[in-house]
Amino acid sequence: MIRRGHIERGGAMYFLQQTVNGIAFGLVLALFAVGFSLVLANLGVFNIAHAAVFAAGPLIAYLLVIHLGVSVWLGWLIVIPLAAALNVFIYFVAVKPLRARPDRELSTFAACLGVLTALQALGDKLLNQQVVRFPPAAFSVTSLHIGSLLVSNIQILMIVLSLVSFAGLAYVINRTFIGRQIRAVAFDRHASEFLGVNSELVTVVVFLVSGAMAALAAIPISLAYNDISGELGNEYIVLAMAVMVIGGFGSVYGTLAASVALGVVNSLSAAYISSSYSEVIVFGALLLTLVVRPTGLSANRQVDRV
Amino acid sequence: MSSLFGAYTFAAENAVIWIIASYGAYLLLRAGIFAVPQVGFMAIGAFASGVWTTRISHNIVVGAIFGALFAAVVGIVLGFLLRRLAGIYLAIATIAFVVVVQILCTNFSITGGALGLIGIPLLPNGNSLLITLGAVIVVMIALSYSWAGRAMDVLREQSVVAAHFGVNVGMYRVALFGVSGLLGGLAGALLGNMAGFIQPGQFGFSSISQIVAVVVIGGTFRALGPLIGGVIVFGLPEVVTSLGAYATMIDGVLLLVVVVAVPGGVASLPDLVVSAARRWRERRSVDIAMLSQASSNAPSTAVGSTMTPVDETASPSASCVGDILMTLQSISHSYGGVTALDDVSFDIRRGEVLGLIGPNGSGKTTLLNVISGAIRPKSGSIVFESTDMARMLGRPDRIARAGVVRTFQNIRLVPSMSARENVAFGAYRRAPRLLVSFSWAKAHRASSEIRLQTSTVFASDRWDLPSPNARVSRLPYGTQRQLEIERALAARPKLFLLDEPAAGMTPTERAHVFGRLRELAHAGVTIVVIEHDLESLRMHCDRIAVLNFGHLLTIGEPDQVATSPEVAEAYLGV
Repeated sequence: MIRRGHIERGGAMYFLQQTVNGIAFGLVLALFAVGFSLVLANLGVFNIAHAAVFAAGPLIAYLLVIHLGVSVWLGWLIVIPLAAALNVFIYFVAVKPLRARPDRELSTFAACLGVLTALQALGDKLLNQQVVRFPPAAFSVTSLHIGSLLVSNIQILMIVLSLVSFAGLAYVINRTFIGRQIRAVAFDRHASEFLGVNSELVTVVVFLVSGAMAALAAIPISLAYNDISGELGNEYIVLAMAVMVIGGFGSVYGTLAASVALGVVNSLSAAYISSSYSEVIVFGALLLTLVVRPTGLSANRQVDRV
Repeated sequence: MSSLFGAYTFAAENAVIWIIASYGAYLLLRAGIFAVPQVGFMAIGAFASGVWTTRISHNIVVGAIFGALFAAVVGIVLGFLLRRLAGIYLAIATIAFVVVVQILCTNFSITGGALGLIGIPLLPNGNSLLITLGAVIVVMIALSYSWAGRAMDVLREQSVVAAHFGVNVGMYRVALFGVSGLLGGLAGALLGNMAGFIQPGQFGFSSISQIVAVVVIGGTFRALGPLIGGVIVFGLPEVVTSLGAYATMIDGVLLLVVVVAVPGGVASLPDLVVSAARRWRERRSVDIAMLSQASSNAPSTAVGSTMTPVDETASPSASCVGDILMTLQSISHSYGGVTALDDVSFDIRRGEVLGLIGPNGSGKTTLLNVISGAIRPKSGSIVFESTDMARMLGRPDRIARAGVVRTFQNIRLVPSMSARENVAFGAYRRAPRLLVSFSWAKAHRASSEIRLQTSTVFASDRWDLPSPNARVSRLPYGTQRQLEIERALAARPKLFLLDEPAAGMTPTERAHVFGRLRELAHAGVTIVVIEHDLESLRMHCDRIAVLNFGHLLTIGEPDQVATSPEVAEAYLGV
């Protein structure tokens, strides 16, 4: 999926090259998936509209680049807070009003699906129903030779960005007060409210962070594949669901590991078997995980009590 | 090609097909199964039928049946594989299923790869589509009035209750996945026969949105919901052609607005109007009643003071009191490291009222859960009416069908049903099973018998029951408890388990509850009741069993138990 270096098929170098490609993609996917899974852990809801937040980043950045002539990098900086705000907007229109419903899971899913549909259609409308690309002048791809490995500047960006973001996230979650509150609410919302946590505020923060992470991940991905459309997020949201389940709901490290594994499997199976079957392998693994171990690899199971 | 739809042929036929598919999604959602596999079923049906009609025979009907059955089988397998999943996990699993099906269809050469299949034989006209949709709707309406429909509603709102009144939850789920697959497969096949071609790209993520929009906008718990939703989703852009370009956007916004503002979907709007009108009328009649009462100062009628002997719950075999109905043998259970029950053995005698008492955490509810099947004990055996229940342990539906029925510690009435519907559901274990009896007449007789009994319950002045049409969520606490007891009695239990039936009741209500239990015992029902109030148990029970830290301390006559020194020590802390 990642643009491949010009190394001959076969041989150890080719294998290594594909692995690096896979790791780069997996790390960026993990950013998106972890953001998605933070929301799930916090509220137990399935915010499928996250795909639209993902798509909104590159889309707005593209419009900024085309109409205002800003650079892709500046555009990127601008869309991160916008995406975070969009995600909070989704929380207030489609998630919060349904919190008290007995059929909360279904109704929230449906409402978020409605938001996703509407935002996608709006995005396509803004792009005149076309799949667009950043103009080549807006950014340049250069490749670095590391030994005989070929690594593009975008891949380096992907790897560094993800590692820095995860370090930051881990710091916030594990070492700060708001991070402790986020973990408390994810573990038991009710109990943490009794202990004085402002769970509403925590939820808003989680949606902000999650939206920002979506935009953070979306730009490098859109640069690497260079296509932008309203539906951009759909493919990645299903991949994010896959790694979230395989890695275990709410587990940051599990999701990260599963994403990197997915990236590598994806890249290697595309290289050695057939690109079309890499997805079969990924989703086969997802279904298998759900059938064999419904709570993912790191489980905390809840039982319905009588 | 003649058509009923004139210029709108394609749009209308397309809508009809998607509505048929949406009925499959509706079935799952109505039963509270949060799953969206429908688009995958459609793809399977479409390609199975497409391959059949392009390679084997041109017969459209055979092809459609083949596609539908193929998808139904896949549905059954999927439902079975995913039987342990619930909530978001299940939704994600079914979305993954759709994605996998789409990828497989894109990669198999037999399905034509990414280009799909062309040259699929066309339907002569849209009439057969309309007839199919009509048939589906008729079946769905019939279903919603049937016992299976009731069971689906209870599964959605109180799945624990459904299981404890005899609904085989796992079987329902697999069966619903199967029927959902059948409808999805049929719709997929028809899609091919309408257009003449199919492509994997048609069966992706955006189609999931479309189906969810149709079902949720229309309403997930009304048989006409998907029809109404389909008319709105597909009809709106045709009627207001200027909307054309914005149709998808409007669908999305509409979905959001309906979910947030009209929880039951558009199909429930008439209900909302009716219930608003009823509330208004009730308020007015209360005002009038108060006025007239104030003027005449009429004495209010005493409620529940007459004890009418029960007849409808009498079981014929219960004439001999005292032989053994159930034997519990060395029942042990633990939660993690905590031992909740430790080697508990005793007999329950036919026709007795057995009180179960013990401090908090002594294992009373766990014991009741073991007997009712909510919990499978770690070890031990239960013999009921001289049959070993080994294969029923942990299966509340089987135990309920054998005649053991319970009430719950916290109230578990079904909020969306009326008082009468709640009580009537209790009779589920006695309800006619068409597939088993194969007799409409027998089924009809059984149903009307249950209806009659239910109305008798509400007609009796035994206690303070509400109007049969009352919404249960608005009723006072004591009344809800009484309804729970009546619901369990509608099952005509041989063994009736009650978990603190009088908790939180006023002394008068408490007396009524125990009086009612006494009557039932006279009528031959065996009763096991958990209660904290030793005095109530002493007055009303034949025997009392005392639990402490999972051990059975003692079991015997009330006076003997109450004066036993070890009981006094454990329970009263003397």
